[in-house]
Amino acid sequence: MGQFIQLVIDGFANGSIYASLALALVLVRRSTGMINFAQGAMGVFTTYVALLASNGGAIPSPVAALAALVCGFVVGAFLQWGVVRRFNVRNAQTATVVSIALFMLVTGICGMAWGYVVRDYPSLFPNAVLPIGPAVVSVQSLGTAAVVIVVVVLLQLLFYRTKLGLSLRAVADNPESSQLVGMNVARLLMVGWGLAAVLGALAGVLVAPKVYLFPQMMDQVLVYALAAAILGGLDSPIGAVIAGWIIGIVEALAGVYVGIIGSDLKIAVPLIAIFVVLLVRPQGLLGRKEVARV
Amino acid sequence: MSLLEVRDLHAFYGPSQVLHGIDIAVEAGGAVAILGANGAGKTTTLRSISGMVRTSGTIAFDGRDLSGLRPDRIARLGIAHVPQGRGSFRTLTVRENLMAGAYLRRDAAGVAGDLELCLSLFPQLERRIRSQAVMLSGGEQQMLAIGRAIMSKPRLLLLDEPSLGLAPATAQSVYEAITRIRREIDLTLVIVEENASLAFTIADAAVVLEAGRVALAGPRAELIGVDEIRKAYLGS
Repeated sequence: MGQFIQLVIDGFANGSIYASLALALVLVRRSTGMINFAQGAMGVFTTYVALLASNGGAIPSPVAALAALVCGFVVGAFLQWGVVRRFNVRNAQTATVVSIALFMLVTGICGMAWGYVVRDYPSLFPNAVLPIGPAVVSVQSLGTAAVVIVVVVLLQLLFYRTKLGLSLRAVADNPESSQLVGMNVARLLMVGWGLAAVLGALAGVLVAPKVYLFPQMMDQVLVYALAAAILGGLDSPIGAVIAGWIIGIVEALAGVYVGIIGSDLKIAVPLIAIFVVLLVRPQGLLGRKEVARV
Repeated sequence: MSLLEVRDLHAFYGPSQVLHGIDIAVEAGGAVAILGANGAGKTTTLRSISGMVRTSGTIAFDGRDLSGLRPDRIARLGIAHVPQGRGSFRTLTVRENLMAGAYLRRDAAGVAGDLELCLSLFPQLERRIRSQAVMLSGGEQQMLAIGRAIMSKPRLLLLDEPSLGLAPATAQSVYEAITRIRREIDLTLVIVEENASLAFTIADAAVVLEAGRVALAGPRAELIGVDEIRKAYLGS
């Protein structure tokens, strides 16, 4: 029983990490209608920036993380303006190719600039553990979960309570009508990418202390985050977080209790999840079903 | 001076030219119909005014040249465009669609008042205020599109075939709603229609396009008597 509870807690902790990147995927999908496969790589880039900003530990890590978030906004907006808008990304295939190209480009830039060595990255939270019954949970895991919950609340408020949120959704839904009501579509798409990259940057500084910092740090997380975003319903922030936790917990349990998966085949869990969701319930747990009326 | 003055307008989609020098003048408070067959350039004329196609010639709104302005800039000047196919924000609710129409406005009280006005003009929309636009019928979506335009408090409203794809009774009620709106607020109208008899329930003048050129133009009373119009567009 003790082991079971510990596995659930560990899965929950990993799930929060998956959720943090999944939120960025949902945001960019919500505000620009595309899936950004470069989201993780962009988060790696900004994490390196945070490492630079920390100046070898002289600057406290939350401040350095803040620098990463600001940098994220600039990088996201710039990539949208400089690259993405030059392609017709309303076509899903084009969007996929463009964002995978960006993914490779940004990873390559990180490798060129900082090398492919693995680096330590300081946690944002104190390095302590708390007992929960027979199990323990780290402060870092609780902190990550708290950050993710706060972000979801902020995203809900942004999308449903602000004019900016309404216009981001309007632009993703129908760019032409958005122009006709006076929205500056080009600028709003940049803002959408910028905000998503802020969340990607947040995911980066949350992931790096767990897996160490290297250019491909987010590659595996991206698979889990995609699975979480799809399971949650691509346009639902709450769905992404709940799904992130589900996937984290199922992964942890399957690694121990399902013989064929074990600790080596855990990556199968998100892939199977994607497969099953797309087959059985393409709109995900909390996503809106695509309705076509003729 | 006219509120909208289009002179020698040429329009292009890529290399192909769609409009070959057309002239339209719309007085403030007036309503002009643009009639013509499929492909005559009616929709392109509206899209030119809104800045969505490449043009040459002059389009002046309230004395200001619109050429080279982006669509959102043109909207800012007080021109609302109800596009063909209604242009609903499909995943947004009816209420959100209407509020998106008021995007440029900063007067919260005025917006709230106009929302009330829209819902009183279109009671069907009030009943479906929380529905996603995609769930609405064609007639309801047309009303929503007109409501969205009204919410921007425009000086000039461009309507692209509001009757398209609607049952005759529904089309009728859309036109009745437009008439009611004009009783409530000052509005200058340009209406694109294939159904001339519907358009003439509102328009006081019309321009007939043929293959990107103006074939006929004049006040309603004059045009209604013209044989070609009767045969081609009035169905008698």
